[in-house]
Formats: sequence, structure tokens, C-alpha cells
Amino acid sequence: MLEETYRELRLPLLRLAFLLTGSRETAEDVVQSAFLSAQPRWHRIDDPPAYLRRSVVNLAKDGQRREYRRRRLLPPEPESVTANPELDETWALVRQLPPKQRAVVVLHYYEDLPLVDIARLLHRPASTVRSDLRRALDRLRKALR
Amino acid sequence: MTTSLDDKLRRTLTAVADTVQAAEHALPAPSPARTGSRKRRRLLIGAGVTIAAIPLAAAAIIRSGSEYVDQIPPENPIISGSLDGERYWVVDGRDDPRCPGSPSGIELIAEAHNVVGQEWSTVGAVFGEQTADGCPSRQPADPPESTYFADGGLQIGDGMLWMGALHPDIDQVRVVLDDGEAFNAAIFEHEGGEYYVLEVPPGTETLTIDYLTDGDVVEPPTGDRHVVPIE
Repeated sequence: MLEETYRELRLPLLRLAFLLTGSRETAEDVVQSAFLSAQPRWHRIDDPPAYLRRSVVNLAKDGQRREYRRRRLLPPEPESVTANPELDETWALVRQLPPKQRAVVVLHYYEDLPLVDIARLLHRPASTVRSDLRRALDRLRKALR
Repeated sequence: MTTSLDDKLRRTLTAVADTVQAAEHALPAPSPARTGSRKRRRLLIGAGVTIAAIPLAAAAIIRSGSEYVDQIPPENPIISGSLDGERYWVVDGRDDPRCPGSPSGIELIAEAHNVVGQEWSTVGAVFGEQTADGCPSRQPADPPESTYFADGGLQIGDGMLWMGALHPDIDQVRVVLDDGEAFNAAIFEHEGGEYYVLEVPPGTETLTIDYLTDGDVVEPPTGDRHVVPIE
């Protein structure tokens, strides 16, 4: 059952972790750690996909802190990710959002989660999540003008 | 404009996510029989503010080595206890051969995560700013004030064991579980440094911790809040 879930969810979780952390290496670590920490209590987890997604979001926060420290030492090189300049430009701007705003944007626009579910996932008031999203969109709009 | 931005974000995030392709990886299973070079996962909580709501989230350093659980319960624990029916022990942290002269801190061993014959899965805490080579500070008695505390948690059963290493100036750790009354965590000394370990019972939704010096709450320069939502 665990192995089946791993085969099924590893790739979607890797993608989510990459969008949250901006680092493929950190995304791998985050997803491995999420499964590793779930193993001892696997039989007690009611909703494995939700549990693992929550773990990835929480672990990504820690990964982001490490990435931030690394970025402060070494400014990131501009990276072409999608081979589409317009999408690459938007992605570069999303990467520059503060971690909490970025998490809300990723969970809302990539995972299609309603704000109330994001608030529950991030353990933050729904009103705060709404204002995080509004601020993120304002910032992106200005930058994309 | 909103629709256009919404659409652009959806297309961008989907396109970026699609660039991640999974290589074949085996399910991580810490068993010495499956690999000869598995790393011992001892998570050392570094200096500064580290908040974890689930195990492993507090990792700052993963130390490597090839050590496997040889005995449960461990010898000479500093603290023994059980939480939600699962046993745990706090022991003297193991010395890292890469870091001679560094303090080893304390290490938390949960019975459910550590099976004899399999690799260790523990969480450790040690006070002080890390050195450039990733070792704990060799001068824990005189740490910078920017490193007021290092703390983190490990889920045990449906509860959590929270622990921390304290700056020498900290003389009180005030705890509030949910909206309950505040109480002080017991502080103990180890290797000349001060630590605390706190049981967070199952069902707790929020753990709030204040670190105090002479009755005043210490505000770490990082500005992180110490209100920890529990899963």
C-alpha cells in the first residue's frame, strides 16, 4: 500500500515541492523526507495524499530557509526552465515572492485549492491567506506591466 | 487583467512543474539489508529559530555515518518517558568524528522510529552557531545573541516531543498549550549548556513558547514567532 502510494504520488509531490522551493535537489529531499516520516505511522494515516501534501508543504518551508541562506551567499543565475520566455519571466517573478505568498499562489493556481483549504493547510487564518494572495497578485501585476 | 494573470499563473506553474520528471527511486526504507551505504539520519537543530510541526522538518544538518540501532532502550538516558503510549528517551548526543572538541548536545530517540538492526532515526539539539565546517560551536558558553535558542519537535504517537537548547542568558521557558494556562518547562544542564524537553499531548492544536531573561520575553532578531501549529 505504501509502495503503491509512493509510485503514484512521488512525481506530483516532487512537482509541488519544486514549485514551493525552486530547487530540484531540495524538492527530492523534501519528498523523500515526507515519505520517510510517514512510514512509522502509515497504518494510522486516514488520508495519505492529504497527509503527504501537508508534509511536503511543511518540509518545503524548512527547505526554503536553507535555499534562502544559499541564495544570499550566491545570487541565482537566470534560468530558462520552460523554453518559453513569457512563462520563464513569470516563473522568475513567482520565485521572488516571499515564501508565504508563494506557497499560497502555488497551492491556489497549481493545486487548485480553495483559499479556505490553503488556510487550513498552512495553519493560518483565512483572512491572512486572502491578503497574502492579494499582495502577491499586486506584486506580480506591477512587475509584469 | 485578473483573468489574464490567473491564466498566466496557471500556465506558468503547470509548465514549470512539467519540467520535473521522476527518475526511478526506491521507496526510502531505512534497512541495512537493502543498501550498504545508508546514512544515519541524525538531525541536528542548528542555532537560531527552527520550527517544526512534523518530524524531520527541523533538520539543519543531517549527519552521516553507518550506525545502526544496537540496543533499545538505550543505556544511561538523561530522560525516559512515554507519550501517547510510545516510549522515548533523551540521551547524550553521539560524538561526530568530524567534529572533535564540539559538544554533542542531546539526542531524542523515539522507540517507534528506531528498530534494532535498522539505522538510527533521531533528532538532536545542541546550542551554538555552527562553525564553517558544519560542526556545533566549540564555544557554547559564549554564543552570539543572535542565537537565542535552537528548538524543534518530533511527533510521537499523536503527540509531540518538543525540545530546545538555550542561550545562557535564557532563564525561563514559558509554555502555553492551546488556550490553557502558562507554565514553565523544566530546564536541565548538559555539557555546560541548558536544555529543555516538553511533552505536547495528543489533541493539542497550538504550542506557544516564550523564552525569557529576567522575566522579559526575548525577541530573536529573526522575528520568527514561536506559535507552533500542531498537526
